[in-house]
Amino acid sequence: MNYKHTSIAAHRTSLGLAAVTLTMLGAAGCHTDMWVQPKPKPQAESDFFVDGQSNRPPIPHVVDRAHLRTDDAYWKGIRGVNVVDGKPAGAVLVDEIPSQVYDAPEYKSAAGDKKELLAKVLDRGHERFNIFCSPCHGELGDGNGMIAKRGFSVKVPPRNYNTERLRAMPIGHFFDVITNGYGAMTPRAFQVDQNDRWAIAAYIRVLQYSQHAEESDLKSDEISKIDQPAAPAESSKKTGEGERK
Amino acid sequence: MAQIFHPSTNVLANVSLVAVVVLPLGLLVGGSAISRSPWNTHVGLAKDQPAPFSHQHHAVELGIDCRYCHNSVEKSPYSNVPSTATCYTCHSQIWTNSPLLEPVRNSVATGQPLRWNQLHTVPDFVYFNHAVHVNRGLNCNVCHGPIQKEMMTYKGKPFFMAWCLNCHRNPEEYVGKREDVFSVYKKYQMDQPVVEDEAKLSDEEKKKLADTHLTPEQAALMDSGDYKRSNDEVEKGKELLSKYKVKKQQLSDCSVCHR
Repeated sequence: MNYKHTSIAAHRTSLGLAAVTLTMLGAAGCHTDMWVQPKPKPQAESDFFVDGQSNRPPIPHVVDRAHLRTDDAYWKGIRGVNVVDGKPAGAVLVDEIPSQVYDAPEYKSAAGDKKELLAKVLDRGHERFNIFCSPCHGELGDGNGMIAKRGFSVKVPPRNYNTERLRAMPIGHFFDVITNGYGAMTPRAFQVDQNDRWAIAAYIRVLQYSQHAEESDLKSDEISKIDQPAAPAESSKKTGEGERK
Repeated sequence: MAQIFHPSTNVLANVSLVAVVVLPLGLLVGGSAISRSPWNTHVGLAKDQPAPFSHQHHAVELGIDCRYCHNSVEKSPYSNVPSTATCYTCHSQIWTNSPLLEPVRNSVATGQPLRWNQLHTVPDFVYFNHAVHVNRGLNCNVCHGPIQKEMMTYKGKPFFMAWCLNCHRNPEEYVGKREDVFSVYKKYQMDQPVVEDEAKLSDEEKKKLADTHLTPEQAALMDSGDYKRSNDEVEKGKELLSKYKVKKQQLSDCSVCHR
């Protein structure tokens, strides 16, 4: 009856192996110092800082000496101060995209052709506008976005860009409003990057042109296309060129 | 001389013979079933959150772009959970009396962030980069499941390493066009029928449909279903890989994710 002895021995060995494996697996499972490392992670809780946050706000009154924001035209959309009777009377707003925007790496790859650069900036503005502005202001800028329809407009209607007042406004105004807020609109500098805010401001001008286009502004082949859904990038380029003149 | 073993031990011997095969197999199958079950992976289990946020309502019913709230997803390794200042861009005006938004109002008033319960985690030795994946045309749903349908957010995929490697070994099966990543939700919102036989259409018809209709692959993605790319689509994926300068042979190196 030799085979019986071997089978039992084999059984015992396999049981032993299984036990060892399980113990090792168990031990490995408890070993979590690499899984949970004591390092600050984005938006995580921290038991080191008093406010319990890993994300650190800038220290109050700190001055960023390497990146001083001295260029008001780029950072505030302002290029001077109006003077009436020797007294300051409101800011003079910038009405073109500052050159720093064109210098950004994402636009720089273009051949250097001004029109091509502008088209790139406006395309970017189009995309960003649809993300950040269209929920309230609508994709046409008429103040009729989905959130406006859902009750925002009961209290404070989002602004329609196609009024005489706003059509006459320099684009620096739109940049300023996105950055610092206006009325019920909260400041959006935390949400939209500096260059993107300029791109959106420029795109708002495109929207204003598009909503006041005459038939004579179009070429004959464009008129025949009107019934078809137009490619948005194409139309923004056209109007963009008009703005540049 | 007396028998060492009673005759009944024959049964024990026979049973143990079977057990030697069945027991390890059972342990293996049972163990893997447990490790793949939601009990371990937490897939499909919504957690309680300070405010009951619905992705379905905000992303599809209202049509707000993912990037309105997750605004760092295209440029940062970490896709941010929005601060309550983002909630307040709209909720300073609408649903201002809702008790469900009480924690949000408190957070804005005190500056103390909400404690959302995290659903998706990777171990700290895994360095996942959202921007890299989004900019290679990977839709949110590839990893997060049918997020646009979720009333309460839950984890959509198990986040096993084998699952990561599945794509890192065959990136041409998953890589997509950059501009399609977020536009699919607009198409989903339009709810147009899926075009099955796109190859039969003329170029002009294809162009028209491309803006409004989900492709079968995108439709599968919106449903979190698996999709097997056709040979043509895999070829297109390979073209995209060379356009994105992805080096496939290095993509499954340990150091790609573990640094």
